[in-house]
Amino acid sequence: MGKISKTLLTNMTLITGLLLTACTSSGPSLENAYIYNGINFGGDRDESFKQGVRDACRTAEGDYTKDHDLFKTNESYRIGWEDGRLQCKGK
Amino acid sequence: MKKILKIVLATSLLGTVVQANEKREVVVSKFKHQATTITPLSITEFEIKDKNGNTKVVNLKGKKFVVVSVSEPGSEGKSYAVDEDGTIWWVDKISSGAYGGHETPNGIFPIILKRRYHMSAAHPSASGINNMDFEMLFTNQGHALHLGNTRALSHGCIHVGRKDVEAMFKWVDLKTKVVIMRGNYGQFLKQELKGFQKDIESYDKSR
Repeated sequence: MGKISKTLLTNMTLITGLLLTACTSSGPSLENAYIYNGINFGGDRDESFKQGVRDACRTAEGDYTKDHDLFKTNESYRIGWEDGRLQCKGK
Repeated sequence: MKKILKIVLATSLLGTVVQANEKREVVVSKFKHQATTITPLSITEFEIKDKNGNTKVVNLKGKKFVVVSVSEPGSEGKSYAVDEDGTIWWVDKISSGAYGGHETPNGIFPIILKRRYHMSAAHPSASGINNMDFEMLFTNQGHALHLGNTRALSHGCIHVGRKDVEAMFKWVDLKTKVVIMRGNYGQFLKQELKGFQKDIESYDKSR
């Protein structure tokens, strides 16, 4: 009887553990994430990156917006713009 | 009997040759006024071949332009807006000139006039409603990009849908070039988007 209880307890612990794991998200972390237009553009993005995303998402809506100087000289802005162009799509 | 067979055979062969020539003539007549061919070499580079076979490469790097791949078999029926950085930022569906003399001519043209409201003088609409709004004129013969039904071929203009033409009209200026071509340009958009993806991945890795 004691042996059965021990096995039952072990199984219950395993099942509970599995259930808890199943509830955990495996997607990208939302910690410090930059969310724009409901899209996660990743964590720890600087202001230039965010500006690039906003400009590209506006462009994707048909209102062309781009800072050409920043696009040429500021990597964060350029990558943000490219990411916005890819993810906001529009067109 | 043999002679009759020979005559029948020769007549049918002659008929086939005539038919083939007629077919070829039809194909030639569709494009005979397309004296120039334009082949894109990259997003910004275009090889232009004139009617005498002379070729030159035009590079539009640093300029903003619109590429139109006409709506004919073998082409895409799309237009692409390319900015000064060589980024394709907008793609839309278009329709171009109909066969039988209305084909939109190949070439690289400047926008020479922008008009928000316009009715075609040559082909006014029976309803009296403007049929060339958001006009972006690029030849002296009246060829223009404008708001129009993209499911209907035109008299030579480029029809663009409402949302697309609004975006385009706002962006173009009188320095913007229009490239009218046969063939494909979409491969450069695919390359560009792949490049963006790679850039983002390496940016994230480096941080």
